[in-house]
Amino acid sequence: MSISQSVSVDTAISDTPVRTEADRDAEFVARVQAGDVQAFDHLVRKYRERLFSIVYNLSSNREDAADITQEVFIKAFSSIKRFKGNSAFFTWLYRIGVNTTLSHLKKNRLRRFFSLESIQEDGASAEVLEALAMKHKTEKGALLNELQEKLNEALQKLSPKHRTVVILFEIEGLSHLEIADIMGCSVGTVRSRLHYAKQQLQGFLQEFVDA
Amino acid sequence: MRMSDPNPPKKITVEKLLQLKRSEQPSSEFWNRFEAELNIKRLQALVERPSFAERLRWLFRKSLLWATPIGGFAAVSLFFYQGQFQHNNPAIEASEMVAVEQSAQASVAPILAVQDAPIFASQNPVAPTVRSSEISRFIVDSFSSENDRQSAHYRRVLYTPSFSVDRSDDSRYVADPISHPRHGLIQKAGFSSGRNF
Repeated sequence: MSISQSVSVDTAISDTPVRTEADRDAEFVARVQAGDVQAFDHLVRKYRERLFSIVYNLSSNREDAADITQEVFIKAFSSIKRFKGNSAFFTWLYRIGVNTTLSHLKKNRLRRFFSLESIQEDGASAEVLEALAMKHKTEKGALLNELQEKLNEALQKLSPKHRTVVILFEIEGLSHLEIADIMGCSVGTVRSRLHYAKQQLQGFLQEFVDA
Repeated sequence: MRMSDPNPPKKITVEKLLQLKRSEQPSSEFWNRFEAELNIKRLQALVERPSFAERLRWLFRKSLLWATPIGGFAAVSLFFYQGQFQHNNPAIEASEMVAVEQSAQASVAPILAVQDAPIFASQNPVAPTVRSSEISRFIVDSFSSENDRQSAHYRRVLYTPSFSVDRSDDSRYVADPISHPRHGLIQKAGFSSGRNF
């Protein structure tokens, strides 16, 4: 579900208007703009996992991802007074994150290496792994490592723009509109990039994917 | 009759594989370290102000954004304005043509004129002995004058130090050849001792 769709309702008071995540963020942003530094900590804690995930999946390097995520929060903190609230805070934050990561990748395109996080076997991933292990008749641990490497390799083979769209849509679960807002392009462009990227991935991962 | 499998194997799609990436999350220790580092960096960002050079660079970059298109537009406008101005003003064209003609004349004429004509030393009785093979000459000035009574062309010729003269103490020589329609070429020669050209 996309972030803007996840609406929280104050059930205690029935006539309280529906407040979206964006509204709540806007309150914290206003407090930070008024000089409340602690309010920014709340925003950091709320978005650090998701932001880290975007940066990490774009770069496939956990150390770089940690540094870049911190850099993004510093940038956001330094320029939060210029944030006018024309878009949601998370869109603005993700935009800084995507741009910072892409410019980092561009600068260091000759010095690339993977350093991956371990996959936590929760419900959804366990199910997929189970099915794959049955299909390939291999042990789950070995399969997991191989699959993780192949997935990262496949993502890195995509162009940065295609990779960004796939990550934001398939992994982060953002809507086409939100991605268009973050990337500064039209919804149509997002759709076509997503379609092309998935076709590419289908080819790169054909040994794991059912036809 | 064939019984259907109660747990058919799930179809693996690209989308499902990508969802595995959601499970790649760092541990809680990672986040503790992350938060501590971020706090330090944020404090540094609060304390550190950009240096004067950085602010200047930032301003310069900002101004470049505007200066480049404005400068380009100004240059193109000036170019077209000049073209238009010259097109509407034949006097400028005529004067430019004269200037070109004079300079073309000057580049060829003086060598012949100086060599062919006798040197008329009006001010200095000591004329230089010229070894023509060693002479290097430059036109430093060329202009013409016309009035009711006469028309004359003036050229100032500069001889280089390789110019050989009998007087060893004179290292420079200047001549003002004057061509006159009625009197032909008049060569005014003179030594300029110690002048540095």
